[in-house]
Amino acid sequence: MRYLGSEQKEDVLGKYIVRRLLQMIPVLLGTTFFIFFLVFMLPGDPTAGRCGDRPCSEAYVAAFRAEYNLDQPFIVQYILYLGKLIQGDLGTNFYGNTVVHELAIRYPTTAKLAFIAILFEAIVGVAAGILAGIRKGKLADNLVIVSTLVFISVPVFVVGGLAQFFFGIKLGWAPITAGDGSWGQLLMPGLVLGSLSVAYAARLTRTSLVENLRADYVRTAKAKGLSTARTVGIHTLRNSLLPVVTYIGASFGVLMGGAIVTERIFNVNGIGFFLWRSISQRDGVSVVGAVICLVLVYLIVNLIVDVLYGVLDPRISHD
Amino acid sequence: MTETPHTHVEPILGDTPEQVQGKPRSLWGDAWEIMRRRPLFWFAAALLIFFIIMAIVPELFTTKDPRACFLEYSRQPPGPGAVFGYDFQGCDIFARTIHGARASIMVGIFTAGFTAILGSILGTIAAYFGGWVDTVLSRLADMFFAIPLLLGGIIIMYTIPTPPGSNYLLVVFKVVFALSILGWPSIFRLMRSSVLQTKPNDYVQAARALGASPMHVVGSHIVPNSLAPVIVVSTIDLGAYIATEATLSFLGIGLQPPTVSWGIAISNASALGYIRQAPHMLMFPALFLSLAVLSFIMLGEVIRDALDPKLR
Amino acid sequence: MATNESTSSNQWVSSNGRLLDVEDLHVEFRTREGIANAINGVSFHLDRHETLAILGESGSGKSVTAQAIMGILDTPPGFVTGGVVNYCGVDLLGLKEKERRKVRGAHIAMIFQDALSSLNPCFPVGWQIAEMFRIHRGMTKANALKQAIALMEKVKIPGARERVKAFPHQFSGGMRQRIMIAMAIALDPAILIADEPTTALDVTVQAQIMDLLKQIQEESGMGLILITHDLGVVANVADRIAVMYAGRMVESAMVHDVYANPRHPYTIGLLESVPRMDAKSGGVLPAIGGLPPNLLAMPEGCPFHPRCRFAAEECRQGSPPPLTELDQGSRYAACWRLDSPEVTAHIQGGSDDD
Repeated sequence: MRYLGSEQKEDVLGKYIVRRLLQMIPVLLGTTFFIFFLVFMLPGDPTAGRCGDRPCSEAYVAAFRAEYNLDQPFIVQYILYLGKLIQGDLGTNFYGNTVVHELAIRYPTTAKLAFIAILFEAIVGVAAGILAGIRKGKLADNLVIVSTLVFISVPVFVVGGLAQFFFGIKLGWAPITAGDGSWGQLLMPGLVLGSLSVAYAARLTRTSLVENLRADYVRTAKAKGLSTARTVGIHTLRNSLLPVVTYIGASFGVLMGGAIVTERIFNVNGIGFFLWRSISQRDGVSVVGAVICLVLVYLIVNLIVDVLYGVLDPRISHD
Repeated sequence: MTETPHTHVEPILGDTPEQVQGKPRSLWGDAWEIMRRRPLFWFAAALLIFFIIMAIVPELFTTKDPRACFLEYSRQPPGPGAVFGYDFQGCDIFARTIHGARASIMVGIFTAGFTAILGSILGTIAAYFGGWVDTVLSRLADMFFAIPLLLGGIIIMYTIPTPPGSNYLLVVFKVVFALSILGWPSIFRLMRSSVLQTKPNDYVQAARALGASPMHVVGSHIVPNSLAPVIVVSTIDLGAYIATEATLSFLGIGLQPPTVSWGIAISNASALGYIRQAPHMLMFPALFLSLAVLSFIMLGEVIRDALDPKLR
Repeated sequence: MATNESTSSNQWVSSNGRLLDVEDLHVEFRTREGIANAINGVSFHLDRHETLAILGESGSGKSVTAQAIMGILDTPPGFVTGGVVNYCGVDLLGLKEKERRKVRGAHIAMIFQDALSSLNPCFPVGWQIAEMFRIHRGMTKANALKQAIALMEKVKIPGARERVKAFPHQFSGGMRQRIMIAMAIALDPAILIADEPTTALDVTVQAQIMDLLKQIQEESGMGLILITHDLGVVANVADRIAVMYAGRMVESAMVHDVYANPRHPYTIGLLESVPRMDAKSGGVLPAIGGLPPNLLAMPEGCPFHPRCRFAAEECRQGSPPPLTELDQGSRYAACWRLDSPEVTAHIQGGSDDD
């Protein structure tokens, strides 16, 4: 925002944000409709698999049909369902707990976990990418390429299991499980969660930096008599990090999927653990509610990142 | 002094290396020349062929029945008789790991195949016709693109129930269906922009001016020139689909026992007590799964580098 | 005039009175396919107030020469393997990178062909100009920005005060090149190298930019090296022309001498391929046939011989012809057949008898 001098320019950025918000609406409607369709419109009993291993009681079925207006016409059902979502009602599971409550007590833990992962991604990933980009073709570059390839190939649940075995059990460097959700206990699960995204972030930073270092304006910066540190650090890095910012937003989706796995492995009582437990207890209301909540969070994070991108890239916010 | 117009790329999917070599000027011919000199390419290709053979005829590698389990051997570490040791039910881990390849490779290949076909066709239609067709298809793709793969996979797998004792293939195709529904938009976007770039080229305009039918223009000029990025991304995604399938199975929502699969094996081995006492149960399926994912991703990257050497 | 010109860098003139003296410069590119000899022994000099045009096709090494003088060659693959770049009595090639950086931009500045891609898209233009003062002179942000506005006014950018915070993409092509010029002349350099400064611009804008460069040069007395392939631009602006071919200087002379009496067959060809007001109408413009040589596989003998209509046996073998002094040292050319009747026929409008 430093260079937004006149009001006119702020107005342009404002229009960009409004445009992005408007573009978001059909995506939100479509996504919720898709999930709604899957849950309620497919042939079969929508209450199947919502009451654990046994069939639901008649009283519960009746209450469920009433709650979701299943006797109303299709489109009315969807609109009423959407109304509930907007009010923050994600349903009530057959234990009688609202899903929102279950999520609310757990989200701080998952947020901490995601924060560690994103920090890891943004610091280690970007630093490794910069190192590789500057030393393209040298040993450091090859090391980064090979190690990121390994992290991309080894699924998070394998990384988690191996980390738990080596660092938790064999070496005893980290707690084996993270029961109480303190920062110290969440460190290793957070790093495991970020391992895939950190590799992608490093590679993206490298590619982007290498591309930008070839740009004409880098030659200009050299011709101006700037030091290499300033040429790379000030003139090239900002351009190169723009796609990385977008990626970190997109990686949020991967992180939330990974949270389910990581929290299960390390017994972290967060949203992912709740989701996994709901799957194994066949608590359908909680599964659907939690996934919808995560998808919405993902979409909102991406919207924020989009806006941030607009602020960072003068070519967007000043047109 | 005029430059030769864009090198025409022959349809590539069916080309054997020998055929490609015969056309040294084509994009894929050049790519092949670069690739065959890179050890990484041969390493990835060998690994990949190894896993595909393992998926088709596991009997080549082991004569043991993966479902023949003896509780008295439960959790025994690797030794003579069982090179990878036994799992908690006393099944031979080597045999189960070899037989587990089939489910993963099938899910990967079919999902990558379906997303490539669906995404390419819709992407070509959207870009070629433009207008409202493009708008509708693009918004549709946006919707599915907005759902993270694993989360969407969980919802789909959960809401389409799998009755106990379902046919093995049925469950595999349910996973393929779920991942394809969520995976096609990335190929769609790629193909759409690729066709949009190819469309204005002179030779396409020339073919249209000469009265070639739209089908002919698309089939023989646009698609072959737009396929390269789709093939690269599909190969890399194939690895990601294998990993996602294993993750779903790990969470108990993908393939179900008695199906033999890497995801299930790792899930079983991940219980804390087992990790402590019998880490071999985790190591071997995890190693195979990771190597399979690695081979596809590595191959995709080698192809990408060969097609666009300046990125290296 | 001399009293108005007292600026830091312009007082520096080497012992022989020359601002810049390049001797026997060699540059090679080490590629996977082999070593490309991009520059093979180029020598020239530049005086104060002088405009030297370096003329040549793409690949002739003119931009590489400029980058080697500036010290901004991409290394690897480009390496300076020999020669002397003497600026104010100091061999720039022998300086440490840290010393060299002080010369770059402050004493020898450079502008490029494509101003849009040559300006950083992420920073306001004023910031980019001000950076020169902040880095080389250690000025504060506010003072540097004031200087930037003054410079933008000097290069005639309308509304400089308001547009100092605008970004490169918000300017037209001509205005962007003016910003590049403002940045280059910020520290009053002794030498300005302009690498195809008008190629990307409309014809009308081209003339404005060349006028601006000329005016700035008259005011400051800097030496100007103009790199171009456009003979039309050269005629009005340059004092002297150096023609390059395949990494060698093939002809060097005062501008009117080159136009009136081209001596090297390549220069003759170049001039014939330009439409002239005084030519008979209806003729077809001749072009030089063939392509410039592949730097990885240079032909034996004179590198121009495969395309030269005057080539004889002596041109096809041995070493390339050296740059020879002609007309009592007022001009130079590198050709074995300078005195042959076919070539000298072009002297004094001899090309008219075709």
